[in-house]
Amino acid sequence: MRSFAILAIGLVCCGLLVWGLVGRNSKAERTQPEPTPSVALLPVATPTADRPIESPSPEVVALVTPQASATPMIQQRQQTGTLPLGVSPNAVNPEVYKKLPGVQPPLINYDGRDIGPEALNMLKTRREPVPMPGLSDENRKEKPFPKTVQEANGQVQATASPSP
Amino acid sequence: MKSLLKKSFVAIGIVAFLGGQIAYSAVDPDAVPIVSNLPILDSKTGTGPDGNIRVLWDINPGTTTYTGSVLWILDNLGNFLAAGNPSIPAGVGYGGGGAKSHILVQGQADGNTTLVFPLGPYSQSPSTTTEFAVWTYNSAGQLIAAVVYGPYNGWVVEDIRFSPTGDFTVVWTDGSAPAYGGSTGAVVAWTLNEFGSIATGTPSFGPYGNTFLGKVDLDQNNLQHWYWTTTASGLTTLTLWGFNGAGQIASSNAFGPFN
Repeated sequence: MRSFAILAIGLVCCGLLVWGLVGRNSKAERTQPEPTPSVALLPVATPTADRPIESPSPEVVALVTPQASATPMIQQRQQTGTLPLGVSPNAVNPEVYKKLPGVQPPLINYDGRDIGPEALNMLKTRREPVPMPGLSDENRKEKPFPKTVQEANGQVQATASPSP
Repeated sequence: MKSLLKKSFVAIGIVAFLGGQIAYSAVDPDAVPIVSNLPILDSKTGTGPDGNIRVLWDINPGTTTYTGSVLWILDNLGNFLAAGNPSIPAGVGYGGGGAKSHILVQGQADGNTTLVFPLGPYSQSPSTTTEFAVWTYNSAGQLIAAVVYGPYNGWVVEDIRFSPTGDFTVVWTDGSAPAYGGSTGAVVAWTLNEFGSIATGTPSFGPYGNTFLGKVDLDQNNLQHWYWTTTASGLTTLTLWGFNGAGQIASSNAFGPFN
């Protein structure tokens, strides 16, 4: 009778031990970090010659774009002034581009609008080669390597420089 | 047997090393970036001068499977701040074969992120990059600047290189060196700011016989430094040019040749 009681207590203790271990493991599994979105398993879209510029599908982008947290996101506008966050009023020096005829300055988001579609169109546009701005073929003939600053600057003094 | 093989390899290594030292007894300046303009080899993930981390996700990387890239901006603890919108389309992210996107990513001190896309058929030696595009996102992931430059008749982009200040240089040449990085033809170098706007451009220099331009970089004042190498009778001279803000040469110093 005594040995039966000892056996029963032993079984209960083992049961409790197993239950505790199993419970702990399952808790550890639940606290594992979320797996990184697997881009390898995403649907594949093969680029084609007639469709060379293609944005990733919204589903694909959504998988690598985490949900916004409850914390307020960075404000889209600067606290002072009316320029969008990150935009400087001196982003472009127009004087430089006056010396580069035909060269378009960057599209700057001064008003906070979505310039994404314009930027994507810019990439899709096929451009024909034009002469390097401010240079003539005369500039491209082989010359002796200049030995002094004066000699070097003298070789190019007739060449337009886009610097301000 | 295994030990003998190991010893043989060590001996061969020593002979090769000493042989190399004897064969190249001339003193060469290490001024030419043999691997230039190759963001495809580099990791685009890292901490910017603002302390935030940029991560570039390549979606389905591979020559025929790539569908674009997405920029993430994280704080210094790795907390997600923003994702770039719009994402980067496939047509500009991949210059050719390989398993990684072909994009330069630079975090800026003001929280912006500048991305440069070398465009055109991909080849490094000689370069066949005929255009490049710049996109700038703010710290909220909003696109705030975009531009495309080129193509220009007969000119290719030899090198694109960010400086620690966040500005970057673009070296155009009409004579890309065939075997290594560097330019053997005429050269023009632009300095662009974080918005992809040209801040300074030099006139065209060269071509010069037996002389080619290696690296172009910026100092802390965003002034350009050019590193020329001239080789004669197997010996090399290094010439450093420093430019002022007007794109004129302000200093020139030559060193060597040494043997």
